[in-house]
Amino acid sequence: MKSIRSIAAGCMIILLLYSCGKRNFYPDADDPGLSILSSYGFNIASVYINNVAYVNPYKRGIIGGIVNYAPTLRKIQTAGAVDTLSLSWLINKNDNSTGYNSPYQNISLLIPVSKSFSVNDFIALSGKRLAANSNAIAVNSFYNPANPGRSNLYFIKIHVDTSALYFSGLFDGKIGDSIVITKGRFDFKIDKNAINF
Amino acid sequence: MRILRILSFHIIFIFSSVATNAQSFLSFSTGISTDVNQNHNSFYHVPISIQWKPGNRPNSPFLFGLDYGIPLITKGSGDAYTLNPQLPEKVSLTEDIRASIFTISVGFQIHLISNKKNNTLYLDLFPLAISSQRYKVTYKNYDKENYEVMNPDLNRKTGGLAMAMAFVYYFAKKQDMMAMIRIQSPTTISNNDYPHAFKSIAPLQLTFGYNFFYKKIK
Repeated sequence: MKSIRSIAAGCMIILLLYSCGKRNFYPDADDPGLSILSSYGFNIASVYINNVAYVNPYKRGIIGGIVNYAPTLRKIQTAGAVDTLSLSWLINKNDNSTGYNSPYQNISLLIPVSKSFSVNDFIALSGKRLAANSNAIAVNSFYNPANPGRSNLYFIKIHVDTSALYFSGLFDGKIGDSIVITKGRFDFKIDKNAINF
Repeated sequence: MRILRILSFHIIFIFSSVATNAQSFLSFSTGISTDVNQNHNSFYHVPISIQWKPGNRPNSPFLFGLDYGIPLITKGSGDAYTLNPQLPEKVSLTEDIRASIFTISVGFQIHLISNKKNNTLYLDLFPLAISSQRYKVTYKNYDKENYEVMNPDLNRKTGGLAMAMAFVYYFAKKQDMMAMIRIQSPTTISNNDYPHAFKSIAPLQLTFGYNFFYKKIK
């Protein structure tokens, strides 16, 4: 009897863990291949690059379930008058092809910030549509891109709880004449310990 | 064992109670229906309800039901945002939500009470029903090119098994008029984990209609 209970408890725990992770990709009927704009901390971001849909990838948990790759949010110190806030995440084409065949593997939004930029300053960006083309955007280059383009960025909602930062918004941009980024939207949740400011 | 005894007693009671209405009939009724399973929105329908009791033997209890809820428009709202610096960064939108439901059910009828005029109250139980449900959402005056709705309500199609019960009152001279209060459970299948998703519809409906008796016991 005791062993049956143990097996049942074990099965319940496995089922619980298996059901923990979700892809949280909810298709936008108006923009095929993209997920809807949400603010639940789904860790989902999607965008068109040259009219091809891209989305951040996911990995499978050890015993099942799905975990979306989270972005990195870092302040990069520079020798200039301002530092750079970098929000970067992995992307794959949103089709059945493998990530290795994708021409773009990551995307970075780069925002000029003061040297004393803190978490509270980041939260204060909630509801702010940053001045048009005041930010940089790059693909295939984490942190320190050589030739970033210009980007529009809107942090629609940012909030924080005891352990994590939640932020969602819209972005687009253009890099040179060949890379046009449109209809970008993100809904991220980052552990507070994973940021460096 | 005790549970089995209680269950078998209930089954015997139910089937000993169903013999009263021995006439075959087809009934049509309509009225108003509301969904009692939503937290935020109230959805209303105009139900079209058809009930068919095929057997004309006194001990033929089975009853079939078809119920379709014609959706009445429910208003909602949402906020949409844009990156375009030429446009207001946020606009509030109104939305029309249409929630329709179609259910096929199988059950039986239990006689409860009759008065001197032979007006009769029945309890219809439908332990097996298959229900198909659909939500259609339309945001009005929505500039899809420039704006994105935050946490939008999504169209949804769902279906599954349900149960239903109804109190039916037959009245008038030939018992050919009827009034019915019917309630149906949400469906067993709900595979949408989107936090903003509509729940399965559980209609509570009040209808009035007419019975066509087509085989009478001599």
